[in-house]
Amino acid sequence: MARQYRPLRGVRVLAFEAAFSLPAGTRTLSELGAEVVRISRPVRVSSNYITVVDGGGLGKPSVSINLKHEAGQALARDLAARADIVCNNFRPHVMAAFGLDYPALRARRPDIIVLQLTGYGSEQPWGDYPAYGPSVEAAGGLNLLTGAATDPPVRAGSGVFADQAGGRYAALALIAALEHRRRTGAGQFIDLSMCEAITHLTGDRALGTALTGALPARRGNRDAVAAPHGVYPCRGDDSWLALSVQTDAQWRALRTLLAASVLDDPALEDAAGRRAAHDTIDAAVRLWTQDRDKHEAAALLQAHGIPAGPVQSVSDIAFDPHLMARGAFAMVSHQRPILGHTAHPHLTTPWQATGRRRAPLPDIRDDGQDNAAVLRRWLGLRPRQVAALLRQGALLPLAEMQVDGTPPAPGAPHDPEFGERLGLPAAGEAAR
Amino acid sequence: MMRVLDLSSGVAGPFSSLLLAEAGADVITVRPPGEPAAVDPAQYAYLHRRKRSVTLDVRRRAGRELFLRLAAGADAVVESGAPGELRRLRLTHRTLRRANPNLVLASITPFGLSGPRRDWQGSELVWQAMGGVMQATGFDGEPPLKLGGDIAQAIAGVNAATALLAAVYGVRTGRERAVHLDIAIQETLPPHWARHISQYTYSGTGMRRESREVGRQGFPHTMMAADGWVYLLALRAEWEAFACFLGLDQFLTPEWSDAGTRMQRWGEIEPAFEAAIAGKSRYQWFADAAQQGYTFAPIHTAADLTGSPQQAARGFFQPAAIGEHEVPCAGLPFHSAVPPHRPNAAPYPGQHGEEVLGQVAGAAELAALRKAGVI
Repeated sequence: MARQYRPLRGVRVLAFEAAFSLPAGTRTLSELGAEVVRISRPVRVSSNYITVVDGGGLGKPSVSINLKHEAGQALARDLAARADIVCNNFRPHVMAAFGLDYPALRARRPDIIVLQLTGYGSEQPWGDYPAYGPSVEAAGGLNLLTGAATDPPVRAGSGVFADQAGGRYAALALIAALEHRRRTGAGQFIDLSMCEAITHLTGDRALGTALTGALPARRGNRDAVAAPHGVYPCRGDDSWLALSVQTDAQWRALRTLLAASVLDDPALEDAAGRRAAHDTIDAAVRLWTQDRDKHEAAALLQAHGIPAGPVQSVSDIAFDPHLMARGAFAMVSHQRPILGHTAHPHLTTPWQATGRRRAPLPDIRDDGQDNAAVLRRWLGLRPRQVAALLRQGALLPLAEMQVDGTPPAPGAPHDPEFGERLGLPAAGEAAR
Repeated sequence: MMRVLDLSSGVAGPFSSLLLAEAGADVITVRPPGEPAAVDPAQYAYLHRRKRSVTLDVRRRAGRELFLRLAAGADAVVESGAPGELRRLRLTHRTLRRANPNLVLASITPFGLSGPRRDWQGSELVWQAMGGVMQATGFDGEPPLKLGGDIAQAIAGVNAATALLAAVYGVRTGRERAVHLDIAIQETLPPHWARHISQYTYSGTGMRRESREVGRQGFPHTMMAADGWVYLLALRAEWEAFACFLGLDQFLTPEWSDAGTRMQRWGEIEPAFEAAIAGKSRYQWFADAAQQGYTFAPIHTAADLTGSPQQAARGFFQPAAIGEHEVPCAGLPFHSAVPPHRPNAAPYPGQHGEEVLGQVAGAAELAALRKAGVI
């Protein structure tokens, strides 16, 4: 069997994190072999259901420090002094109030790497403004790049798009900092803005505006050059095919496949002609797609060398045969059944080292489940010392994760047989 | 200093090496001689700033040999050829490692180096469609919408840069041998709506795009303030407190306390709601909402961004040179302890040919290669 790929083996990360952005980034570090310890509940957290299904807690041992207690803060500082990386995604004043900000941590360990992830960065005027992913997507410029000219600004439908982007940039910044420390011995403080991550991802558009004075054109699903370019309805409810013809050769292949006389017009031989007749072409493509299955239509177009693909729903992605063949999902076995099943698939870090195996993805841990193990490994504490910390109130008692389902949103499609279709082992049944 | 050779084209590969260059790496773009000029000069400038550039035809034997000499002094190579192209070029990871046992190779491809769709053609639209998020973007009863920008490719670039840094760190610290990284652009997008995928795998629940009129909160999240669009997000807000905050006192009576009722009778609320929002500027709403714990935000245009006081306080936009122009350009969303190695300008193709290739070849050899059209 191939060897596990763990380039960050032995790196210790102490994460004061909640919700979705930083957990996404530190989970990447954990999947690359780092030991990421999650300090549970420094402040209010969202519902366990969302925390669990989001998957940000997977693979991270949990220590339940009571940060409101002075002895808890001292314990956190002791752990931080043994960490390579300390990171948090609370508002800037939170860690300072606990005596866990960069100056305090650096005094104990000069080469420490500290990352603070916030919506807008910790400087004023907006450093203390609360933010969720969709707010910073709007402020970062994404909404006014999305949609057609006649649309209002359109938001990403995900809800966690910027959280994930912020997490990705956090992982990048932290690994770059580790490499910098390896070369120079110096630690650093990283102050990351989720809003700026969104702007950086689309920075070419802002640069174009700065250069020409013109705002980027909002074309919906159309393209500045390629045509035809868009989504077309297929058989079934809310079922669509995406198609983008980028070369004249692809156009000729499409024309042959569709065999519609309206497309034989010589004016359509080049992209400019096709852009001018986009509506006419769209109507012909729609006639071809509307009675077809989106997956079959995409496969047929791709067999003719034409870039096309199904617009994938959440369930399409869960069953995507290509993603499955590449091992994009890991089946996470639960320590207790969650919502009636003992294991669920989760997306893993979206890249791989060829010929190597991904590190396994252990289940989310209960708050405080790893108090004894981590405090022994990191600080050499004995069980009775840990018990004393618990009695003293520096550690919070073990809290079992309770996960209650949420009713489906009104109007959302619901698949009552998802468990069987995904092959999820049911509670009370041996895992397959 | 980390040195990276970038053979890639498109957006994802150059964006990955841009991130490395911004974080202080020495990035050398290697492209064949005589390529046509970029269609979009701003995009070219954005993706290639802070790098050096050589033109070198690795398809020719002498060019390939020179490339291997460069690889001997590099930490990593980025490439974006179709699966199988490295074999045709005789530049597989095995060959590269003979030149440099510690060399990390990152292949960025549309659908990856393995799997049933590895030979499918991609495009920004196709990646967004197949990677997700698009199904959820747009409005109920209308087609799904592509997100703006080349965002799927840019995200693939962030992942590739992270993968590459971790791999180089693993090699340099003796934790790992040099690996060949396989980054599929399609695969990097699904995590950006992982929660929704998991809502299906945990509860069987799918997703429907939101209503154009009332969104999901029972009021539109996007409205016109006095000076432009503002984003209204008030998760878990009590209606009474929220209506009071907006100055909609006429809707504080019990008949409006139910969310379903408000959605049904939105037409009666809308005029007053719109008028209230239009009464203040975007930044005023942003500041006032933050005071109450509501997460409003100004909806910035590409032009507004450079004027934001927060970005000014952080020095996020730095001048970049494009031709004779000096224009503000987005930098990394965090302050890097390592200053970038090169100026905030894109080189012309081949600009650093002599200084880079002069390190691995003599003047006479370079002159002969130039004459043969290899460099």
